[in-house]
Amino acid sequence: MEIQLHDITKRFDELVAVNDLSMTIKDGEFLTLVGPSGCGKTTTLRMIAGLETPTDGVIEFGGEDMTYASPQERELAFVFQAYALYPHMSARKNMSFALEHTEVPEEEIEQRISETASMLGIEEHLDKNPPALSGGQQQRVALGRSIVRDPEIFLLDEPLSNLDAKLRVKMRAELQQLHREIQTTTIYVTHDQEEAMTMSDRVAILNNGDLQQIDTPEVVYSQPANRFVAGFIGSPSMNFLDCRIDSAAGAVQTDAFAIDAPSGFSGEAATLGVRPEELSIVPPREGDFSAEVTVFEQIGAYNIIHLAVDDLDEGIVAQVDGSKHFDPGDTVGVDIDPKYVHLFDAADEAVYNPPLASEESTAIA
Amino acid sequence: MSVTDVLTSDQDGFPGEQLVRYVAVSLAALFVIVPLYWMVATSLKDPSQIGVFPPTLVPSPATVEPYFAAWETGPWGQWFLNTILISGGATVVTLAIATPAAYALARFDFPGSNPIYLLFLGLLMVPAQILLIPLYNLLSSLGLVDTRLGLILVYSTFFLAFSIFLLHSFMTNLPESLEEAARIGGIPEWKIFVQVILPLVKSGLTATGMLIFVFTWNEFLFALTFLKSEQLYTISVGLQSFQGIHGATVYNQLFAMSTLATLPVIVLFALFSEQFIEGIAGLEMQ
Repeated sequence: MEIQLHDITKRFDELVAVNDLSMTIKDGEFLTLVGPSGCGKTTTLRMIAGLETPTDGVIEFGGEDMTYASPQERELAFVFQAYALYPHMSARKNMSFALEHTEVPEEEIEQRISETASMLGIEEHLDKNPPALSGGQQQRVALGRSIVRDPEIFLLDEPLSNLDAKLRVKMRAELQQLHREIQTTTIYVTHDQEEAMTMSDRVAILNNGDLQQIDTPEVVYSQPANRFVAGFIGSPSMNFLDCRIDSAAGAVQTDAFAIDAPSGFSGEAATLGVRPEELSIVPPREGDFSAEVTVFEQIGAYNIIHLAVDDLDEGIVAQVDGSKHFDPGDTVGVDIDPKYVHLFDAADEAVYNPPLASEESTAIA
Repeated sequence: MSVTDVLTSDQDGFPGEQLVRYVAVSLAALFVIVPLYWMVATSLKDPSQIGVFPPTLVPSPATVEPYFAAWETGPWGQWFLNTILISGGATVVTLAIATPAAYALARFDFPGSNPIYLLFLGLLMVPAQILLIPLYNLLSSLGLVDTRLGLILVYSTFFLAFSIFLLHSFMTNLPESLEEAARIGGIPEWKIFVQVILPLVKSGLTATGMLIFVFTWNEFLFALTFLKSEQLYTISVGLQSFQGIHGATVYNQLFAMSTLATLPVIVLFALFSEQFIEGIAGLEMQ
């Protein structure tokens, strides 16, 4: 089922939770709404579910206006952050409850529950009540309750945020697998950019109720539309340095160093953005500038170093290979490949982004 | 853990804190138990053991004769039945109105929902006695004075505000996402109320219902005012008749009937104590 939002605005008294939001979620797509808390992502999801009514705008499901339809009429499924399982019903009853009010015959309900339970690995817990289940099991029952209804639209509100880190990664993969199997239009809300990047067909980034960018994970990572998206997507966050363009020399000039401007770029820029993973650490006095290591974070597969640069107010974070070790106080050289920088204008809009890796590889092939 | 361990254990605070607690709880228990014991003991005494000094603590000989004698003094079977019907009726009527009202006030934001709730809260402040005469006039014009239904309605009037207030707190405590989940599941609103909300406020309903039942069971002033015919009396009104009919009060018979009147309440608490405590504890957690 395709979902269209046309100029949706939601105000709670003075507060504008969602501001003039328009987007189309394609049939069968896995779309993630991501942003910091208070950005309007959950409100958007609740409006799609019918749990909130937009102050302005139109919501359409498959071309049909559903703006004021009750949740009952929308025939979609919603997985709540705290699961919202009925504590007085067994897991089985939790899953069958909604179906008992439909025309689905009893045998089919039974069959759907047992299929879903085996897909989710909760067969042996079906007769327990939710308080007797672990967080991960409750989460599966909540998913199962949605799946058995065979909905046209699947809405998930931070469904993994109450799980521990290990289980979260596992469930992330299971959800992707599940989406591949059932191919239902899915809207997933999270504040975790990593979840957004790993699971989605497309990611919509919201901030303060405004849609910042909606595109594939690759594009929002490599070609962020503005400085907010650039800083929100990717961990550790992109480095931002004040800069100006020296068009005579064809250079990007910061307070501490200058690098060549990206080829083909002309215009003005106020901020230079470089991802930590795009910085190359080279021997001292080589590269574009020298820096002193202030903090070394041992991660394992890769390591993180925090750098201080003379004449630069901002610190710089770089990601290095897991085999490389530094101590605070070490001096290193830093090299920046002009092709992989991001440039933002004074209004924080992106004016230069590197090419997409996928397009480059096509070009080479 | 032995009794000495419990009494001398100081794991919760200052040394001997447990001991102090036990003494305090024991005193509180004595406060309740002594009058109860005195009632039961006196009901088992023959007249020669009553009003003597020093008082006889244990009836000797113990006799159930006062029970039989007292039962003969009035239509006690009828009075018990009246009390059950009136208390039960008031409980059912009150809960039947208060539960959906509390749900509506707790969950649905309709025009005037807040003023209405405040009005109910305000009604809690009105002393019952003030309403005695207006209510009498009202019931009288409806032809409901001296009927069981009339008294049921009077009791319900008083307990409605209180019950709505209590049940409102239970319902606001439930996570709203439960109803939202049911709504999204396509469950009609009335089924959400009956199948999701009601089972989850069961302990609250039990606690509220018991408070209404016990209070109306013991209530005297309104029963005396609104019931005139002897065959409609409740037990509390019936007990009062002991003093009237016999001149000097026959204490062993009075206490025999008082004991019988107390029994149903004690049985009720025994049956539902767990849910009652759960309900009250649920309120305190807010």
